[in-house]
Amino acid sequence: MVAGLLVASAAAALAGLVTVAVSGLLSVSWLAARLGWCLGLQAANHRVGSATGALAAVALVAATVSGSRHRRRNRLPVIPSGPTDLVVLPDEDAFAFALPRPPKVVVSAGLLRGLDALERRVVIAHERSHLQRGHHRYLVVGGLAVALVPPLRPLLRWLELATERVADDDAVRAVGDRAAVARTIVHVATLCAHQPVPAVPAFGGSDPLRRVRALLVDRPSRLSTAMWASSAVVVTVGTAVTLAVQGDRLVQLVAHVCV
Amino acid sequence: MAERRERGQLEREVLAQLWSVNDAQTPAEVREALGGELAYSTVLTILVRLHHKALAEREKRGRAFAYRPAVAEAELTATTMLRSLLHSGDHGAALSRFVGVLPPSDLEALRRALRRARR
Repeated sequence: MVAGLLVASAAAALAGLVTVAVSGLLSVSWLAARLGWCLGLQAANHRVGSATGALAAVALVAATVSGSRHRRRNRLPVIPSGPTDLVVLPDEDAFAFALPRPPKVVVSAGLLRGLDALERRVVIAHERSHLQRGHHRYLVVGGLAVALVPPLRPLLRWLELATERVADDDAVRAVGDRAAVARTIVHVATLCAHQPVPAVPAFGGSDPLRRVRALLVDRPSRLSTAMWASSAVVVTVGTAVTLAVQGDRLVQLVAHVCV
Repeated sequence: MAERRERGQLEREVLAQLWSVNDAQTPAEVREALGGELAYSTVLTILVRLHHKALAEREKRGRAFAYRPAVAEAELTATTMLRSLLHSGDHGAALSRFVGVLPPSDLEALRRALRRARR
C-alpha cells in the first residue's frame, strides 16, 4: 500500500513537472513561433512564465539524473548460487541481510559467534521472511521513487520499518517466542553498535527501537500511524493539485504528439 | 520447541553453529550447542550432508569426525564486494539489513525496553 502511494506520488510529481516545463518552454517567443503549428499548445500557453518553466525543467533533469544514479549505485553484488540459501561470510563485523538474487540469507561469521542458537534462528527466520515475501521489490520501487522525488523519503523510511516489522512477526511465528525476537534485535544492535554507520535522522527513535517496542508493547502506535498517513495524504493531494492545474496541458501535449 | 521445522532449516542451523565456533566440532558438541533436543543421528546426518555439499570439512578426532565450515573461494570475493557496499554509506536499498542505523543513545533505550518487558 505504502509502495503504491510512493509510486503514485512520484509519478504525479513527474507528470506535473513535465507539463510545467513544456508550457514554460513555449513562453519563449521564438520557440513558440517555431512550434506554432500546434495551435492547441499555443492557446494553452499563457499561464506559465519562462522562469517557472525553466525551474521545472531543471527539477526534471535533476530528478532524471538522481534516478539513474540511484539505479547505478544500487547494483547488488552477485553471490554464486550454492547448495544452501544460507551464506556465511568470513567477516568479523556483525551483519545480516537478505540478498534477493539469488535468494540468500547472508550473515557474517562475526554475528553468528556473538549469538546463541535461538538468536541465530531468529535472525535467519527474519531474513528468510524478507526473501519469501519479496520485500526487496517494495524497497527497490520505493528507493527509485525517492531518488526521483526526494521529499518522499519519510514514506520510504516508513516502508522499511513496515517490512522489518512483518519479518519480525514471521520470526516470532518461526521460533514461537516473542521475547526472544525482541532480545535478538537488541543483542544484534549491541554487536553492531561499534561499527560505523551512516547517520540518518529518524523520527521517534531508530528502527530497531521501534521494532522492539512494537514487539513487546504489541500495540500499534496510533499517533505515528496517523501522522504518516496525513503526511502521505498531503504529498498526494499536493501533486494531484499540481496535475489538476496543469493536466489540460499534458492532455494537449500528448494529443499533439500522438495525432 | 517441539514445533516442526521446515526442510532445510535444520541444515541452516547446523551450518550456523559450525560457523559460530572457531574450532572443529563433533556431532555431539553440535547437538549440545543447539539445545540438545535433536537426535544424535539427525545431527550426524546433517553434518554428513553438509560435508557432501562441500560446505563443511571434517577431520578425524578419536573415533569420530569433527566438522568445521568450509569457505569457498567465491565467498571470499563476495565478502570484499559486500564490505565495500556495506560501508560505503549508500548501500543498496534492496538489502534488508537485520539492524540498520542505530544512534548510541537508542542502545540504552533498547536495553531499558527489554528490562521492563522481563519484569
